Amino acid sequence: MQFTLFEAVIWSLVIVLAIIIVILIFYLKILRRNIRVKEKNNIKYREKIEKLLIEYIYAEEEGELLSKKQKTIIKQFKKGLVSKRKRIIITETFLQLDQQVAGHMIEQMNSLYKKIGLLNYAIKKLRSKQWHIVAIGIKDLRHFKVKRVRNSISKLINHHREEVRREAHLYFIELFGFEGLNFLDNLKVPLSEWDQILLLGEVENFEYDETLDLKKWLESNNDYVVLFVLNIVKLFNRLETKDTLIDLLQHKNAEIRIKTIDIITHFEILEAKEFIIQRFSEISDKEKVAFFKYLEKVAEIEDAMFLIEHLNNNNFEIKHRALKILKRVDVNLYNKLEKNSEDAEYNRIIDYLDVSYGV
Amino acid sequence: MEYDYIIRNIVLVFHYFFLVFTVLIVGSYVILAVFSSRETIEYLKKNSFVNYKDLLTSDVAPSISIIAPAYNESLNIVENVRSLLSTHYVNYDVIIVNDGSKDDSLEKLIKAYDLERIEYLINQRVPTQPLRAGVFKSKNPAFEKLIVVDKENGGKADALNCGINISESRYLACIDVDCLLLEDSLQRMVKPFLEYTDRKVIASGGVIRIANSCKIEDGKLLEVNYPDKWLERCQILEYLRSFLLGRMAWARLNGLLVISGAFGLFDREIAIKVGGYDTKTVGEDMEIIVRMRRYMEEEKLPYKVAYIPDPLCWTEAPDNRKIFISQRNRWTRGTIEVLKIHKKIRWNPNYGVLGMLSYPYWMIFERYGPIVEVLGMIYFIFLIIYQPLSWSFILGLFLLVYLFSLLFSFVAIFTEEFTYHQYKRKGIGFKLILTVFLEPFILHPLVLYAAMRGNYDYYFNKKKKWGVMVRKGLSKS
Amino acid sequence: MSIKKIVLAEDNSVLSLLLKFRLEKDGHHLLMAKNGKEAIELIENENPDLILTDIMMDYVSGLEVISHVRNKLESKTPILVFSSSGQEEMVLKAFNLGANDFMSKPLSPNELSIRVKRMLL
Repeated sequence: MQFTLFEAVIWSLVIVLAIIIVILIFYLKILRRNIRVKEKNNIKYREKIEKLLIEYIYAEEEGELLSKKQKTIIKQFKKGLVSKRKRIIITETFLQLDQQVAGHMIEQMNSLYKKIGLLNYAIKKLRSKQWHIVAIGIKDLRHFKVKRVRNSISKLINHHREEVRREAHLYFIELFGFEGLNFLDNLKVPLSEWDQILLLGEVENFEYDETLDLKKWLESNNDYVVLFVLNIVKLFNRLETKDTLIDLLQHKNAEIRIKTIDIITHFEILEAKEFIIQRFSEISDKEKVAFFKYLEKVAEIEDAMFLIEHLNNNNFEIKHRALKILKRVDVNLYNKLEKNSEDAEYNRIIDYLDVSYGV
Repeated sequence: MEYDYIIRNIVLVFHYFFLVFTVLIVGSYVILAVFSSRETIEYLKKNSFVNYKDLLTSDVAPSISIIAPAYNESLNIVENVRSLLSTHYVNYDVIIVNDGSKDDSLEKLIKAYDLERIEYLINQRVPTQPLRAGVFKSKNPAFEKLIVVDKENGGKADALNCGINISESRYLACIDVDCLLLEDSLQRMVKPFLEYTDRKVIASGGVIRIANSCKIEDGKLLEVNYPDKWLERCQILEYLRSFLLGRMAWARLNGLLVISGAFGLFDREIAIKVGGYDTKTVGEDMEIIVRMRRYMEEEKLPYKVAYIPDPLCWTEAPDNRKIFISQRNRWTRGTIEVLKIHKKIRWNPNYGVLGMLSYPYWMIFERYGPIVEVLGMIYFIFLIIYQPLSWSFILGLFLLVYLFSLLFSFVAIFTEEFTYHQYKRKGIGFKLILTVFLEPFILHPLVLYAAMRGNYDYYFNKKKKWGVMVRKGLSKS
Repeated sequence: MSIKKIVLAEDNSVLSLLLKFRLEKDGHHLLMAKNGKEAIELIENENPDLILTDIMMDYVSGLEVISHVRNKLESKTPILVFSSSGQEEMVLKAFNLGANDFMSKPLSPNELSIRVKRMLL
């Protein structure tokens, strides 16, 4: 009797599954057809909207605020906004053109954006419960340079979702330039490398603001703010931060120390040399390697003794650079070196240096 | 009487064993499917409004080296390299490692890219076979991103290690040289490395899409087509299942054990710290991930192995049975080897998800699964011969298993339709459905056979090496 | 004054349309290409008087278009490139390959119109 129960269970499951699969087959066909049809419609509508937008821009007439043609076009846009799918296409079309053209057209587009009511939709997005909708809302408002929502967005600077706060940071920088960077004062959350890349991408479009107090941020409690501002120091060649940089060589965060060495190398700040040489045995391997990159730029003949000490360092990169630098600053001493030591790597490096730069 | 009783009980034990095993597999597939869809939805949400072009002009974008080992790839090497050089990323180089090819790959490259031999100081972080003709770079500034290394043959892992030594970048993209990468692949794959602040991403893997029958010209994917051969069609379905349903789920659980050798991004520092690829195993792509994960677990550092579901890498799948079986045979031996090398982590709570979930799962279902299945079939036949079993029971069970597998294939297809919808052409829907129904009969037996051969070869045939896949080339209309 | 033929290679469809509108208003005949490959085909078949091309395009970049026109076709047709900001290196490469002028994005269609007129003189 046990088996017959099994059988009953098995066969009922089989029938249930079979029905589900038949439904799925039909659903798949319908789904694919719908996707195909939707894509075709989207392409058609997109072409229509692109044309409409261009016509609007060129339908401007002297003296009038809005020509008759423009008014008709606005009506057509408004009709489309009701459908979410069409709204997305309209927004995307606007955005596509937004970054590419300059001058009077941008103003035209921004005012059109407000006139057809797209702005309201974007503002509504800010209040959505779904984080990615909020982020998209901020992005739209940023692209259309809507300054009046500044206060709502400043509340989102420390949002728990990185995508949302990233958009908020970008909003402030793009719309308010360096003044927008003041959000760094209150930043309690990390800035990932990705964040920094996006932010720097915006920041580099601006003329540097001399009144900016970078020192304040370089001394921030938030290590990520320090790292980010170090990038700005490098990007805009802010040599006046030199003293703060030397202080940062002793920061407790290793990444900050290494980045500082990188900037000191970029600026060729000589004062750091002695400072680091004195502490050389205490610093980490990565910092040592970074330091030798620095030495490559600023080493002079009096550093030869220091270099000799490190010719047999375990680390290949340090060995390589030490030899390379020695050859440059004190070629006589270099030539007096033992060419065939027990260290195979050492020999290889010497060979290479002699061959590639000519003995 | 007693004899009968004993037989009955043995039969019962076997019954329950196979039942439990099946329930576990099915249950695990269901759980993986759920996790997978969650992870894919989250990924799509996160990246729906990302502009990857920002990374293109950034000074701070991290350096990436694309490392592609090549062995006797002369037929298409020039075109493949050209495709790699046209990636839209700002800070990368392409390192082609010619692993002792016996053909004229090197000569073709030298001619096509105006290469000259240069002196190059290699920091031998990982031991490899020595160089042969040496290191080459181009005289033409248009190709300044290309480095070609000609070395003595040492196998794929050895060639990759050579690339690791040559590279000075922060990240390594280890790929198969005939993989077609879409233009923004590097940006998408490197993003996870840059996004996390509370843990280190040590590797990211990508989905491999099957390029057979697709229209590819000048190294660009122009049209995605559904192939005509059943073997190729079945593999597409299988890849969709395992990538979209399997790996996304494991990535979410942070238990991902495998990143395809055809396309993966690694943190160079960690790869060197663990000693590079293992040249003594045929499963080197899986082995290095397990080793890198072990390292992070042992150092007690928070980490993640990420997974990108976007269709970024298109490659050619085997189109005849012999090569297919040889490939799966190698995968089986690779799995066995890797599990053996790292058996210390099995059920070991010191290794977290890696040891308590990933390893056991891989061992039970991937390594022993095929064996259990074959044993099950033999047992079934035995039962049919010696025991009176009702036909409706046998038929019912068979249908149940078959329909369940169909269900998962459908879920994979629906996932694909809702996300990337790569197979747009009319009529492919019908072919996909047909593939779903036929795949268990066409592909699965081959997979089982290859797994059995793999086990046999592992234990009894020590002469097996990396099978040579005959390249038909990526340029087909 | 004959009607001048211009090939415009730009993958941004809206921008493309905008520029087409503007330049056609000036009386030129526009041939549109969505990528470098289409552009090269148009150039070879139509022999235009001026070439406008974006640098960053999928599938055969603007740089390859310039190289093809100057080296393969050995043509002296004037070429103007557009570039997004941050691509100075690309612009330099474009000039080295033989481009005559460049405009950076965001660009002003009015300014483009003036430059085009000048280049067609």
